[in-house]
Amino acid sequence: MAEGFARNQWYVAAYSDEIGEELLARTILGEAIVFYRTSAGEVVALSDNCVHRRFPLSEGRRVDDTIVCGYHGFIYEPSGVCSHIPGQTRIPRTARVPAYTVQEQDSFVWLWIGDSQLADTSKIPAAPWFDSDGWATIHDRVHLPARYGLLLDNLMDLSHEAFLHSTSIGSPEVAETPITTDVDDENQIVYVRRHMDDAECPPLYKKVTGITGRITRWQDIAYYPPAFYELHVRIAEQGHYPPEDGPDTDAFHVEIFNAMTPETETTTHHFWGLARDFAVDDKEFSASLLANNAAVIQEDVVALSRLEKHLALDLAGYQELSVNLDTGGLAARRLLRRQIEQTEFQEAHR
Amino acid sequence: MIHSGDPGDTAWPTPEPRSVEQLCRIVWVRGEDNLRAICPCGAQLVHDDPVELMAWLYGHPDGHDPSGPRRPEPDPRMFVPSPVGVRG
Repeated sequence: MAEGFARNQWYVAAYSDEIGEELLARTILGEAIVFYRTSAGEVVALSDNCVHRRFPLSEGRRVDDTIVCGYHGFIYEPSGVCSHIPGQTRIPRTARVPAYTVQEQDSFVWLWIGDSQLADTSKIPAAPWFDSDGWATIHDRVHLPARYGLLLDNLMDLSHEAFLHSTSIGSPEVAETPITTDVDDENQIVYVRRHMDDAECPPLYKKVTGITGRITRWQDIAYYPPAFYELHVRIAEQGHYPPEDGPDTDAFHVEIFNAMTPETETTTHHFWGLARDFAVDDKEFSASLLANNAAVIQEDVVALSRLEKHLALDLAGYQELSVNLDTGGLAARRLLRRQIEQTEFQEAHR
Repeated sequence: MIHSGDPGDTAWPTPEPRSVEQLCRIVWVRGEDNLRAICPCGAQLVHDDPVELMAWLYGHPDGHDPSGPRRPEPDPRMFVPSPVGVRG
């Protein structure tokens, strides 16, 4: 597993609808950050440490577009510059807190962690389904008491669905069907493809699609290091494949995302959600889908937090074994490790 | 096209699909325990250990013989990946 953090990268910090007038405190890669939205609708992300005595600014209050520190009343502008110190007119040059570069895209608030001079918004992974007509979306966020590398391993090897999620989305074919792994080094993407033919329709899919017989089930993963993951799912009655031309109307399409944003070395913000191109106006169905998928995610939370605790035990001589199913995960770890090494290089040569 | 399972009328910008020849590919050989690695240079290696196979793949050009067996034609039904996640 890759250890450490890749900095000078984009991370999902929040959903757009989480950030409004209220101050939102969130720790990302060990950095305490306060978020809010200005009256003009811009997202602001500032270091959540008052320059005076380090009181969390998120414990203060909004006045117009500024934050007033709740301890001694220092006032900060959206740029992070301190504009008022009670009892004096002189504002020292160093009276400011770092401001982070943010970008809203596809209903996510992306945060650049690192040198803002290097931030390039064209490198943000696109997930257009989450902000497009014709798709209905659900999303949620869970606090995972485990390192993000464990979640990456989990998502890159979906064979665990057959065992950990056997009562919802798992079927034996997920563990038995060979995968193809492609690595795009230039664009930094790992693709893992698992196309299952004549597969069992797992319980949750039966409920969602109404299909009762065998299915053709495709799982096409795209991992964008360090922390974004898409799973393109196609489900159809057995034998129904996409036509050469025209829309693929015989299939159900689900676009799943997972953002595994590190909070600390051993805890993670797990943002997850899905967009579907069927029953798009059915709000009751959305609520049911959210509840059912949240239950699946909870199974991962329980397993990975247990594993995190287990990792704290020293096991002399233990050597991890990787098998064929791990090919995608190994490729993902490699790209992530390279980004971490790149961070170390950049910081050593600053 | 995002991939062959998508509706055709995508309303968002999609870059040109990336050629399979530009990707490092590892295929699980159907019906076997072996994996086949295919380097963009054309060299291939079949092995049963993904860790060793990946070390060979990224060790290019060491041990890579492009005059060996060529890349098989891709199955047209299979999704040809494209960098959909990076806006063009």
